[in-house]
Amino acid sequence: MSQLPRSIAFASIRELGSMLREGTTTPVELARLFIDRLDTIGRSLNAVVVITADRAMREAEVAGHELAAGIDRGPLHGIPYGAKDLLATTGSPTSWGAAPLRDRLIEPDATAIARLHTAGAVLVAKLAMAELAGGMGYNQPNASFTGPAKNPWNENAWAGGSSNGVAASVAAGCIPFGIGSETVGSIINPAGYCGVTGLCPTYGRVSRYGAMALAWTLDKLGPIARDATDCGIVLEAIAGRDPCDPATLDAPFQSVAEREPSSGFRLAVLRQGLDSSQTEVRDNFERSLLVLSTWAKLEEIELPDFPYYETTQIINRAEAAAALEELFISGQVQELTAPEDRIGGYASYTITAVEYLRAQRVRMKIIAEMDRLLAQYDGIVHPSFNMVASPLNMTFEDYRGPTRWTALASAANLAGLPMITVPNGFGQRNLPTGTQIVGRAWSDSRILAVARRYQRQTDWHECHPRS
Amino acid sequence: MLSSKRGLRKRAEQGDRVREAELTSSEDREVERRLAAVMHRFEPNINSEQSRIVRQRIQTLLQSSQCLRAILLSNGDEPSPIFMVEQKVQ
Repeated sequence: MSQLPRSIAFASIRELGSMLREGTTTPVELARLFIDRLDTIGRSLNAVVVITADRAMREAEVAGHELAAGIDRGPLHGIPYGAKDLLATTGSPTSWGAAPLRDRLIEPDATAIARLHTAGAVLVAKLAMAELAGGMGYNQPNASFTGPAKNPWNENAWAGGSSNGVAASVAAGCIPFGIGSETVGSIINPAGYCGVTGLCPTYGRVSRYGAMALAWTLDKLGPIARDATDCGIVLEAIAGRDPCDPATLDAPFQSVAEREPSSGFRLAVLRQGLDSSQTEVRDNFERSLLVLSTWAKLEEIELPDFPYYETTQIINRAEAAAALEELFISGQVQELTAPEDRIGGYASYTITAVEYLRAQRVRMKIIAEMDRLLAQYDGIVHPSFNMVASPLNMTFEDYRGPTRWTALASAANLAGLPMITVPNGFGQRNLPTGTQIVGRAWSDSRILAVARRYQRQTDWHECHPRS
Repeated sequence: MLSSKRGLRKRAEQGDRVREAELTSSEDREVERRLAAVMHRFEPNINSEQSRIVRQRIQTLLQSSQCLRAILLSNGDEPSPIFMVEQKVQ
């Protein structure tokens, strides 16, 4: 067992980096600490697919030698991390959370993993996820061969989806940061449910090469970490053009470059849908607005009137049916864990080309209107979700009704906009609540600046589960 | 610019809970046609109980699709680009 104190498990990337450079710990010691915690706490939460111990020790030893020799690859050098198990990694299986694929090897490393390797980060685990990133329409937490992902704040509650292993592991102090993916909600939802900070970057900011495709025009990769500053550090390491992912652009990104505008921040407040939120979610959101109002100008807005949910549904379902067609043809979908996932995708085969293209044409109007709206603001603020995490033994439909995504989540994902969720308190059953900030396309550093400022004035991101 | 038919939208938002009684007969025929196409292709994998669920999901998707018809589009309204020619530096 590692001899390092428990508090280190909840340290930020910057704090761990300082310790490494001061010589108070080593990359190997850190890797051992987090592997121990993943093997015990992480496994008890059903958050772990595989611990990459051999690779972690190799990478940690190299990082240790380099740091000792004065070779410094930057803030992630020697820092352990985990990856959602839809990212290809050499030498360990990549299951996509799906039982029929649990032993499958995909090589080489995904671009995001390769970039983290270059930055000196240490991969300690592949982490659990809803099978096929939720692409078959799962309706309850037990939708992965690793079992239902448990929330570290209350183990009778779900950890969210689909990047639940990453979010639960960060919240439980099993890793300082991890890489998740979002098609519609899969970073913001679990990060929000688990009370950690999750960043879904602008579409095209981070290469998806080597990641499972669910819906090519919606998929993004992004970090889940302790706070906004750490998310920015990770994004800087993984962002950038990749010839292997034609959606990526060579848009410059620096995590600390964005400063507060001289005229102060201007934020749009979206209260749409708040009346159906749990009281604690609403109250905590209002308290967040009070904090924001001390240094930002707040204006109430409404979203332009579009069928956001329906547009997202048609595009997402049609692309998923195409991306995962092999599993339908082979019949492997019948081996998935959730019974509803075994048949969830068949209906998508009836979406016609004309219907799909109509959705993509409506999407263009949504993109234009969202850009027109966001050109006036540094971001839109809204609760990350309108209810805390659902109980493990309840279907999502029974808990929150039939509509799976909020209008803002659908709009932001359709338009490829950057989003961040930050914890803002606790609600029913001791479960975290969150506030999200959605920015204009390519304004990732601006929403990070807003989130950093919010987290300088609050300490919700410094709260940790007891166990 | 928009002529959003809120009734249609609300119905689609009801998702899988939309009841068959709410379908018009032509919508119902379309759902049956689409279900038959799915069963033709995948029948060995789908039992009769499962086909009922597949039918519900087809219904939901069809209603979402109809909801999008409420947005006025002109001939020149192109889809979101999903194909780009790579720019090569000579």
